Amino acid sequence: MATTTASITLSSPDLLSQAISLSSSMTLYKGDTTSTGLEQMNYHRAIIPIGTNFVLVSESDALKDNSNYIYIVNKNTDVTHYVTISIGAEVIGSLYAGDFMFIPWSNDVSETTAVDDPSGADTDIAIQAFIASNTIEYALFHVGETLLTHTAS
Amino acid sequence: MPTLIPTLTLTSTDATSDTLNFSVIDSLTVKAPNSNLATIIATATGSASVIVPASTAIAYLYVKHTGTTDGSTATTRQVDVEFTTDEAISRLSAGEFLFMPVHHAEANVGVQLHVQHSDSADVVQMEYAYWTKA
Repeated sequence: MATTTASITLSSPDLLSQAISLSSSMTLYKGDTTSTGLEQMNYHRAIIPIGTNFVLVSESDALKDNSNYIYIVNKNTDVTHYVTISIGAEVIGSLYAGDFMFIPWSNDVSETTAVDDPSGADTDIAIQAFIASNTIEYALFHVGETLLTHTAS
Repeated sequence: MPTLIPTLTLTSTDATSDTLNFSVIDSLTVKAPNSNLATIIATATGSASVIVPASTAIAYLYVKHTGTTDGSTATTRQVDVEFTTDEAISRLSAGEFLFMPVHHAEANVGVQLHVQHSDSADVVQMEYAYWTKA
């Protein structure tokens, strides 16, 4: 099985009187295991226009009840440009130009099921751009995705 | 104002047929309040483990699940990172971390940790740090 590692370093030359640096790394495992690595990923680059809150990653049964990992970076360079990131109905963060986030993401953070919420979590990840269009890149490391059957039209 | 430099690297030699290896680095201007690195024992009562005080500002947040209850005793209990209004942001399993600029739509709320188990004996030692965006 694939082994993907995420490492982070947080450093500063001037937060304290002496420079600080902390580092951590983790392996991206399937939910409830410590030996089986995730072997599927999606990587996207998109331009997000202003005015609408768009679905970036749709929840699905395939993503339900498992660990997935989402990385999002705002590639704009004007420091006033930003996007908000939402999970379900809640805005959870803002990414200004150059900022990034990396979080484990699960469809299992709530339990109320509905017709339009098959996972019972309502955990679409949504994104909205402000000030100007924002170019973002994101990677989703996941356990699987719901593949749709092609129907010829 | 001080600068925080976060660097994230994602690597794999076998997730894709070609080696996966990319890094992203940022330079963040930060201000007080902040907490450079601390530990906390999270419990099933989220309000008992507030790690970012209520604010309307953006906080650059780092949280890691140590996989232990006290630094040495192993546990696999998952921990929700959530707003103090109880909406979940992410769920961390043993050994996992997150880093993000957390911001609840300009609402005056904080961030807390909530062990996913009702037994009060189930606790998890967590590490965290946060810095307020200047």
